[in-house]
Amino acid sequence: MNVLARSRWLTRAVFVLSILAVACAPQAPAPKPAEKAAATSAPAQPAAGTKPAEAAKPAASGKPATSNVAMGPAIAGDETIAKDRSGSGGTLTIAMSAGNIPYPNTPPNEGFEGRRFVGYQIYDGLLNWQLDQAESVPQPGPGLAESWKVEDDKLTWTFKLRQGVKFHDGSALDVDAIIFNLDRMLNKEFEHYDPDVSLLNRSNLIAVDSYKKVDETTFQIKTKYPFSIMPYEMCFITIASPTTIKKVGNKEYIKTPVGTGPFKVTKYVDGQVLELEPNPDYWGGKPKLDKLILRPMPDPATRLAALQSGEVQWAEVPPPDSVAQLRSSGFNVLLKQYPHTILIFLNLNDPPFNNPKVRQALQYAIDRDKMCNDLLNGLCVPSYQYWYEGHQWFNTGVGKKYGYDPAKAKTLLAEAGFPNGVSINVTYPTGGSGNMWPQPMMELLQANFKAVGVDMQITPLEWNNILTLYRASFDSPDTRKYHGMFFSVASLAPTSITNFTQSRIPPAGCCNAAAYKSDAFEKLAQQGVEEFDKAKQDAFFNQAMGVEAEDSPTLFVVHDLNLRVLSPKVRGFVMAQSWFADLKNVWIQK
Amino acid sequence: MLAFVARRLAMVPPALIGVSVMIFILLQVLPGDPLAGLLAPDATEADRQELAVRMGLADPLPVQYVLWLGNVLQGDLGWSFSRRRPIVELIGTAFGNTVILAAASAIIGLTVGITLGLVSALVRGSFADKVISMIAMFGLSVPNYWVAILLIIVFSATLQWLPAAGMYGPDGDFPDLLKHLVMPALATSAVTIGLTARTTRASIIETHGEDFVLLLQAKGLTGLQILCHVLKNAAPPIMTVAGLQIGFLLGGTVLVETIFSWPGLGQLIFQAIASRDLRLIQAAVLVIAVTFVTVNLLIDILQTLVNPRLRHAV
Repeated sequence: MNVLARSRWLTRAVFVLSILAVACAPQAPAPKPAEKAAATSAPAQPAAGTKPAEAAKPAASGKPATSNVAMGPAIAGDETIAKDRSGSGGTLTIAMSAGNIPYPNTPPNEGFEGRRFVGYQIYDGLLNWQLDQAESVPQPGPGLAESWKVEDDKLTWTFKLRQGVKFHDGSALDVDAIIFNLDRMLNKEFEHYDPDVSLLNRSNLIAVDSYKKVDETTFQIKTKYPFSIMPYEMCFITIASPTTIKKVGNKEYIKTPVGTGPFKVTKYVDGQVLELEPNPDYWGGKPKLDKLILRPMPDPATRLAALQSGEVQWAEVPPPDSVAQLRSSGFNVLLKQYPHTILIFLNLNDPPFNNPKVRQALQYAIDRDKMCNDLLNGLCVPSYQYWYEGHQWFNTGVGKKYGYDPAKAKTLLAEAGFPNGVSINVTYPTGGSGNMWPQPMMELLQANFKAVGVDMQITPLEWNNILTLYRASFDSPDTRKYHGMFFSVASLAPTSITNFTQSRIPPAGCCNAAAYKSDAFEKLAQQGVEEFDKAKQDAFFNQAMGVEAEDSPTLFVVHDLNLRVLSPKVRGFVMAQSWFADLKNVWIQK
Repeated sequence: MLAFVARRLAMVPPALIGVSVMIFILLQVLPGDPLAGLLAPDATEADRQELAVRMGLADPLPVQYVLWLGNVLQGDLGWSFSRRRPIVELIGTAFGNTVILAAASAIIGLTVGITLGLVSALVRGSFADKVISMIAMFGLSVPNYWVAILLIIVFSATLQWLPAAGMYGPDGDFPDLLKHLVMPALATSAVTIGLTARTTRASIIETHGEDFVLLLQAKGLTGLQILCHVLKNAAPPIMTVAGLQIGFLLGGTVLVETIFSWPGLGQLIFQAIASRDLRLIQAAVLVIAVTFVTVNLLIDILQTLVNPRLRHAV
């Protein structure tokens, strides 16, 4: 064998050996037997002197449907952990998927992950999401406002401030502090007006006309028009300490953030770590943890390794193909339906999607079960409407009508004048928070559509570009170059419904990306916004989304299941049907 | 010598201005809206316009560039709207973190690379030479992010010897930093090892074949004495490669820094690009350009000290 051939042989041998070494590497050590027992459905034994732990219950019905996706022991393990409030203490380190520590302002950046781990831990909202339960979708509940009501004029909201609350810097929460924060967001003449905070809170305060202090315990916010969904918006308005803002100024504020929330910041190093400790005076009860540490780990493989090595005890969205291994190793793989839907927004202005039959045809062409079961390993459930079955705005009339039915899809296409199929171009993001795994999902959709004669070209774009197209809507020339756009929606408030109204079509408003125009929908949505009886309000919204489902300005793909994995040592966590998390009752078992 | 340095320094400002103009123009043609990532998902066009005015993006492009350059010359790199901090503070911290990683990578890469190259040259044609060549080829060929993930799988997830991510752990002291530094430094040094080993080997072999070596042998110098002369003459190309590698490392390796969550310049730039923070990208690229130019200038000066004949080559 000559020299060159020997070199090549040696190179190949080393390469193969290294592949084998990786493949045959021993698995992460399984948890000890005591830890493994905690991951089963048997209820934990209560420590002496504590209340007995409630027996684990299956998820209540009429709530998130599990479809035919195998949930495995994850749900049972989830319930056991949720009920185990028997201990306290410990340090919880969380591996976030964000690329950086969310800056701790009101609101933080890094999207809803920023609110989840930073915003709602340091701050309280005027109202708070009720997150310490899993049975129903969290609704707005008492926060810094203990109670609220709308006056007879249907415009004036009166809030009673919770008494005895202090900011982390020791200053008292009073009505003046609320007015200070509202001025900071809305009053351009105010000395401490922050244009960035204003911009990021503006959409939640869009209906606000004025606000005022009534007395030492009461303040009022007046809206421009009847706006029954105000409580939802108030959950997004978080309150920072005026004392600290006055002391350090808006520009320096994020280095010393101060709220009233369950945790306070003790160490913040941009790009590296945010450490929090429990607020001992928290009005909702002192959190059980000794310390909460947040670390940014944008790479999923890194989050997985950090979890397996014990460096962190909580990892957001590890690689999907690691789920089975993590489950078998005794980690708690948590999955829960929540208002997060993957959609394809459609160009209603141009053929073929200006024809409702074509839109409906493609709804029937999607094999959602295959996507969830085979492609995504049970990390989603099929989406037949904007919301999932069990959600208050899931329309039972439409139900799950858009099941997989390629024959029906072809029939509808033929009726629409496309018996030989049609070509379309749909764009999708290459990444982006909350988008799940766009490329393989789009490839599966491509195959589904091809089977019914629709030739879909898929165009990858950076997430920033997709956002730009989304904000411009399909009424704009740039967005109209495409027939559809992959997008993920956080549908936790009624604004997800009003987003489909005509006043939300850019540039006048945002974000009716499909430029959907329906008088029937418009009327029902408006009735919902003006209806202050919750049951009637829900009924109007329900009907409105039924109209939307029939019209299909969007194709429904799947509902994400909020994958996160916890060490079995993490106890007391309730996985709510929410983007956010209540960490007050979390503790770490030794 | 002073004249040489002065001539080199005179070339720096035009080079830096050229880089800054080029990156400024390139950023303007980057697709996507620079404001998209800074706005709430449901922001309106009016919100967008307001932010554009505040960021100075509504001004004509030449005005934007001149204003920015004027501020840079006064030491103000601007404000990062995506990070809500002064850019000089962000870059200062990130650059410092990258210097730590780059220094460790350079020490490992250059030490191992030069040693391997020297040994390889001395035992040219042997089995050891071939093994070293294979190692060098591996270092050059294998993507550093693959090496990074492999190291994490072995040393973090499996053996649990080293932390998977970050720069510091709970202890926050020097030994803690070293533990966090090992894997990223190894991952980023692979290319340096490969390149330096091959360059060293080639340079030593070429220099050893020159006539003056024959003369030294005829004069009766020992092998070690000849080797010293050979190394001195073989040094310039090795130093050039080393300088380029150091400059490259100081620019931050995006993928490795992201995988290890190392808060360095590479990760900062990557996040700035993702969020279209144009001023941050501009400033960071300028800093990298200055670093490259400075490092290469120092290398050139060092080379002229080693080989005075080079002083008149520029």
